[in-house]
Amino acid sequence: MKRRVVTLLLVLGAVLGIGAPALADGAQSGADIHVAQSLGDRDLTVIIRRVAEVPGPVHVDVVTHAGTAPGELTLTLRAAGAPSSTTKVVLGATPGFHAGQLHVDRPGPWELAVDEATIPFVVPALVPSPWENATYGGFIAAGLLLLAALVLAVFGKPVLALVPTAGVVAAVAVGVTAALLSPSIPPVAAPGTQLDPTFDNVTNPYERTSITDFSRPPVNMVPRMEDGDLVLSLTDGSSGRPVDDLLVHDSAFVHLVVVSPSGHLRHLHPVRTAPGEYRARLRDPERGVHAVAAEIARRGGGVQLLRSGVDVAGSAVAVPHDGKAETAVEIREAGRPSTITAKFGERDLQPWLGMLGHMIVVGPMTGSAAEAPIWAHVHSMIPPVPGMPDKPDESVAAYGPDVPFTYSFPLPGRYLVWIQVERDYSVVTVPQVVDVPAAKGVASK
Amino acid sequence: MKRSAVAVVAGVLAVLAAVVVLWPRGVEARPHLAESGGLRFELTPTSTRSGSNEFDLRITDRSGNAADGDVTVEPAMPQMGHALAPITAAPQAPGRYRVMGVDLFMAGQWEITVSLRSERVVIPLLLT
Repeated sequence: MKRRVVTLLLVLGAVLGIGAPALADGAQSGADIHVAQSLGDRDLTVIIRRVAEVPGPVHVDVVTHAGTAPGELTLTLRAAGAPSSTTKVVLGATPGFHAGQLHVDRPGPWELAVDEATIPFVVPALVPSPWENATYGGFIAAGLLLLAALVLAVFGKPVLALVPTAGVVAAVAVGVTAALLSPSIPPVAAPGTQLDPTFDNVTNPYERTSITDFSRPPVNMVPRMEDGDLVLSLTDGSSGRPVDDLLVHDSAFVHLVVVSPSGHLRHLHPVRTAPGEYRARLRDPERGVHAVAAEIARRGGGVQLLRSGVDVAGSAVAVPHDGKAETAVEIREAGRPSTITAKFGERDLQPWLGMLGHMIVVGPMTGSAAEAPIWAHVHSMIPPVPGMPDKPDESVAAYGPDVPFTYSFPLPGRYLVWIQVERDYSVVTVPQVVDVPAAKGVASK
Repeated sequence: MKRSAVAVVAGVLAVLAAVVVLWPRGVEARPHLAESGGLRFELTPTSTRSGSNEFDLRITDRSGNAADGDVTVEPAMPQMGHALAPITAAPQAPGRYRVMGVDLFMAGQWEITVSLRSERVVIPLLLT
């Protein structure tokens, strides 16, 4: 009898050891969403922090920059058009982070309204994957069957005990197979980035679809001026309907670059005010035709560059850029990689739009910027830190001082180049003119 | 006694099989070949992981004679739309070059363009 009890205890220990969840995937559900917003006269970055539990709080940080007017913003969360929670964030006079807290009651597609700007985003549901269920289910079943086999064996039914023993082998096989194969199972199409998010597919993300190509048609952009605001109307190139599926890429829905007739550059992030309508304020505009270029990414993949021009009624006085940096320039002939390194002296640059620096290239200049054949946006990246899926936000002022760019100017000629970095919550724009020589008898590609 | 010996042998076999099946495998650093109009390029990276890397280059003409001249290496990551500054390869011996301090900071598909005079090849490199 004593031996039986000892055996029973030993096997129970083994069962509990196996049954403990040891094979969990450290799955990240979502990440912080950083969206740059040119809201009225303010340049803001809205950070929607990862939602840890649903229902639960949503932490929103509003980052103000140098020159942002103090005041109050109203943040409202909406699901399917119905407001669910609202809060006010008071913006101080010093640039930095201003926190607000809202509340979500269910996973799914949500919309954060910041005054008149709206930011659609997805609150993911924490759903265990089918292979996780198979792994845990297999090991739990193995434990229970082992217990049954033990009880039968201890109470003198060794032949009957063989049946649950076979079950143990089968259940362990299921669990081990699911655990081993799960890394190689292709991911399902994500609601929000590939599929239009709905409350159904967010709460049941492992349902497979028959779609294999998620890409969508190109977009038409029509810019117009309205009360000092540049308003972009985005319509689908195939159906003519408003485009309301823009993804946040490089921390903004739309990267809008506007170049004035005198060569003044603005890098704006229009706010969404209606489906397919984005607007940004042009402060102290110059008179004349401005070149407009917008970088967008639609749901389903692929970034598009939309170029246009808009006539602005402004003053005749051009505003020069005041950003200064020493630049080391090594220009090669057209088609070969040239390098431009801006040296900012001190190691205190902040990430702007998730990058160390941005370089806008327009040229070769023969007439106005709107007619230039080449329009490029080059990045200087922040080296990724392994194991850190979230990018550092603007509070980390520890990058630089050298900001290198490599770009192969495709055509010879004179280019206008602007280098942009962030320091002290202020965007520094350094203009530069680059002359690219023609290729001398070298195979171009 | 005999039974326990069988059990031990079976256990050892099972562990060995598990080690063979589950041993983590990276992509092996093997030479990548590419040919242009008149030259043969052979690029061998020291590592197939992201991070700082070095390349060994062997460049010969079609008949196997060592090529000479200035060799430039231009790494780029098309998926991220990112290019690195070109690096000049250091000659080691006739037809042999070494490229040091290549900071391929991200895992994924890289494109290494190698050029000697007007001859250019593009060598894809997958980093894990």
